[in-house]
Amino acid sequence: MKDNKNRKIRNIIEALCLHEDADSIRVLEQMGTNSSDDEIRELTARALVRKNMHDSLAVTITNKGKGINDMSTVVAMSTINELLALDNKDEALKILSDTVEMHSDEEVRENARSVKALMALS
Amino acid sequence: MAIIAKIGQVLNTPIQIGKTVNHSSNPFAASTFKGNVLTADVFETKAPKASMKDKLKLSAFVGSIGDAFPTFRKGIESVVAFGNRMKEGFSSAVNKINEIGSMEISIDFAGAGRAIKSSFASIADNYSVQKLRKQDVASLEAMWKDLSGLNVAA
Repeated sequence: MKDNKNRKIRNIIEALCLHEDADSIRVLEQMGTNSSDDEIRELTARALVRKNMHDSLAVTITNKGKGINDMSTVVAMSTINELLALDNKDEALKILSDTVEMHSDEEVRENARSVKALMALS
Repeated sequence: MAIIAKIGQVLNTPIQIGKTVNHSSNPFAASTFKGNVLTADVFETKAPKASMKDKLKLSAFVGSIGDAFPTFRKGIESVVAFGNRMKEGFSSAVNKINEIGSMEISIDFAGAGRAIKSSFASIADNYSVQKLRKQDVASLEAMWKDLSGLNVAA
């Protein structure tokens, strides 16, 4: 029963990832990145990265406890892998640079610096 | 004197090879292999000359040979070609039989059943990605909330 529910949520996340409406980012952030389920957070973070838009990338890079800053190592590493797999990394690198220079939280800056170094090497 | 007479006798005696004696006018008869001397006189024909009628018959016969041989040749060639075709056809048929014999013919009923079931399920499934993509974001948000048990206002 839980598997069927997760499959439906997974499909909704996929559909929102492919949706052209910018409001899909808001729904993914509110419903997905705040979920208590690690799998849902992981799928949401990856979907936001695949959208490759400024707002969706900012959610996974600059917010503490989300995306690359998630408390779950699995979620954080999956988000980083998805960033590394992007065909066009320009927007992500720009947000990472801004985060390294201007973010108020030291941990978020350090994470952004590490990911930026990885993306530069890839 | 007696010696001279003896020499003359030897010279006058005809040369004999084996036991055959050459009585023909063939000058090479003496040197013919193993004494098998040609008895027919090749220098003096004794055969009757062919008449004009016979010549015409022979000419017609030779002409018929010229016409007949290609026909025979064609016939023989066609038979050979037919045989080769039969042989090729037979060998190819044997090869086909061998190929068919080496093939594994199986019908995956279980796989087909699963494929049909899967396609029916995707058609009937309202939560397939293809169907969800066509819905607006608000509807997707409501569905997600329903599934998460967050949509209590409705």
